Amino acid sequence: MATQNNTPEPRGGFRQTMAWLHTWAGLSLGWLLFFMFATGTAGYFDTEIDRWMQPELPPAQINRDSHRSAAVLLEKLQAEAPGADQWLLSLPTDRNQPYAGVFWRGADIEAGASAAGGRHLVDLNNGDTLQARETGGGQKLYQMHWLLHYTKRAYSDWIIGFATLFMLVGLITGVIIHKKIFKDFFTFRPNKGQRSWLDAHNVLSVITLPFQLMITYSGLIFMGFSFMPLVVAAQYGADGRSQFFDEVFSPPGLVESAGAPASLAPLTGPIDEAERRWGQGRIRSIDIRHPGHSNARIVISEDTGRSVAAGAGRLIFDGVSGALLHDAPSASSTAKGVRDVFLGLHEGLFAPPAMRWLYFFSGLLGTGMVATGLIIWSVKRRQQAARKTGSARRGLVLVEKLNVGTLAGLPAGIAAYFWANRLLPADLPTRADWEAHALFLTWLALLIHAALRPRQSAWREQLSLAAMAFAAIPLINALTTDRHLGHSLASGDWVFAGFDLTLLVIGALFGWAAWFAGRGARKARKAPATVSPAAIGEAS
Amino acid sequence: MSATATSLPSLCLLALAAFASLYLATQRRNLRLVRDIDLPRWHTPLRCLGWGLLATAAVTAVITGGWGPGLVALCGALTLAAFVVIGLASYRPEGLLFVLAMGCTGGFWALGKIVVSGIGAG
Repeated sequence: MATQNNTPEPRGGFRQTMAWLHTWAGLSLGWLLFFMFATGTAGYFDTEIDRWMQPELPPAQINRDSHRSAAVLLEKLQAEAPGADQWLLSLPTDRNQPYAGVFWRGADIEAGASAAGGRHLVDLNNGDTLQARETGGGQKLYQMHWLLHYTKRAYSDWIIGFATLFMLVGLITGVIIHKKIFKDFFTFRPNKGQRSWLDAHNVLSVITLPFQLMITYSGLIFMGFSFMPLVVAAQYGADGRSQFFDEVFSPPGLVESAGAPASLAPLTGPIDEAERRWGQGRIRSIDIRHPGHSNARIVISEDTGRSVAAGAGRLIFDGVSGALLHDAPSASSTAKGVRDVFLGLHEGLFAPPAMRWLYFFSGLLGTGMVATGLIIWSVKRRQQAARKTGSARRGLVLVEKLNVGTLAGLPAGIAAYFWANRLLPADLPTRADWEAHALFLTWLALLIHAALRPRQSAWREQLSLAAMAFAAIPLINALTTDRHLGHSLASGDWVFAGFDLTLLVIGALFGWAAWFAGRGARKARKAPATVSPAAIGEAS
Repeated sequence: MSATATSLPSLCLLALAAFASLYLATQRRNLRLVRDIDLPRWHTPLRCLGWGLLATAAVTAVITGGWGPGLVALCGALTLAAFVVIGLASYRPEGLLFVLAMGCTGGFWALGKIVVSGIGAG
């Protein structure tokens, strides 16, 4: 966007063409990209948000003896899910998995199973099921950034695929048209209207460029199999997709259930073997297939926290003799290894707290980059319209309305998601769904509000609303739970304190933005005859 | 893994100092501190210092964290430091000399601690 040409059209040199591409690739799916960036950035604190949204849960139960944890979980599954096809024991290893859990399917209800399939979190102190309010939590919030919540995978995969591709095009063309990346690295000139927005957009893009390229390219890799099905079809045939996925992702050596009953081998041997190879406390899950049958298998998965690469190494044991059958590292081939690294970089599950904050910060700046890009489009055209005809064209008005309703409206919707978590009745059926509905209904309401209100009032009102909505969340938390900010700070409960303080900071930033938008409007009122470009720039 | 976590503060401080000196190396006007500092005279040393600090940060990142987490930490630290320096340059440029001094001192002090503990452990 560093070009000085005010009407970037596909004529003239290479740079002009790239500028045109940058403008339209960025604008056409820009609001969707903003949504993906905002909810995806929240995802770097997904489990922390989960825990804030279930305040009934006890402190994390990590760093326990694997043998004891496995014994507690196994006992629970034996009692609750006899005759199941699969028992999955999740061991709490680090922040990614703060509580133990069980999952089962295909259990025999006649033999006394509570349900054919199910999952819950388990208190390792007494083996009880951990009870907490129903919520979508941080998981549902961050999964919106690729599932888009209301659409089927068949559509959402393609929609976000195109958005990500456009983002990559935006990044590459952005680098090409930015004339002086090194010389202007530090350049930000405040209070200069459109110039300042362009500087801000450039600065935010350039200082996060490694992050942006990584997140966008790895985002495409996530979607590779949907995007390029023919690559798989060429090797495995048109119906071979499931065979391909089995070969690449499923643990090797799994067999169909056979009828002969046999007792399950004790888990002690396999656990010892896994910890000898990977280290103490690095078992993430124990997956038992066909427990109680002669061809039972025990699949032990490694915690992924030690390297950047996502994807767990697995050991497969015979479920009756306890003998090790296969050692299957995640990177079964170079291609799989490369994919694991890109996925791991994208998700950042390996990141310890300080690095996690840097991920979050980079994500926020990326969100700001998309936002400033969208604003520049409208500021530039508003200025041209003021110079030429004095009235704005319909396309410009539409973009301005969508900008207010999304850049301020969506964050307010995310605040509503947290409000709903605390304020909806605990026994409301499909409570988790209503949390998400609260987000999208708020967003929709603010899009309508933006359509009805004058531009500058809409900005001021919606930014103020977002500020108050975020700042009020710690207060609502204090009124509805006993884990308020004072308590969490005093007791060193950093998940709750971090959440509340972060939302206070976000609220303050929106408050500042509302003040800023109001200042632009006041300036514009002072000089209504000659509309000052700076004022338009600030308030648009 | 834990090595990356311990080296992260030192990476951030080194990156802060590096960007502060690289920014000052582009400035023509004088900075008023205790007395006027004639910045253009210092351009070359500042540029050398800046790139040297960046190289130190990069080497520290890779040695302590390995190529994977180390480079991730380096990118994160550079992003954060650039954001802070650009903010200061736009609104409080006098603060940059302070950041440069603090970044150098703090960064090398933290780095020294890592080296000493590394020698101790080795």
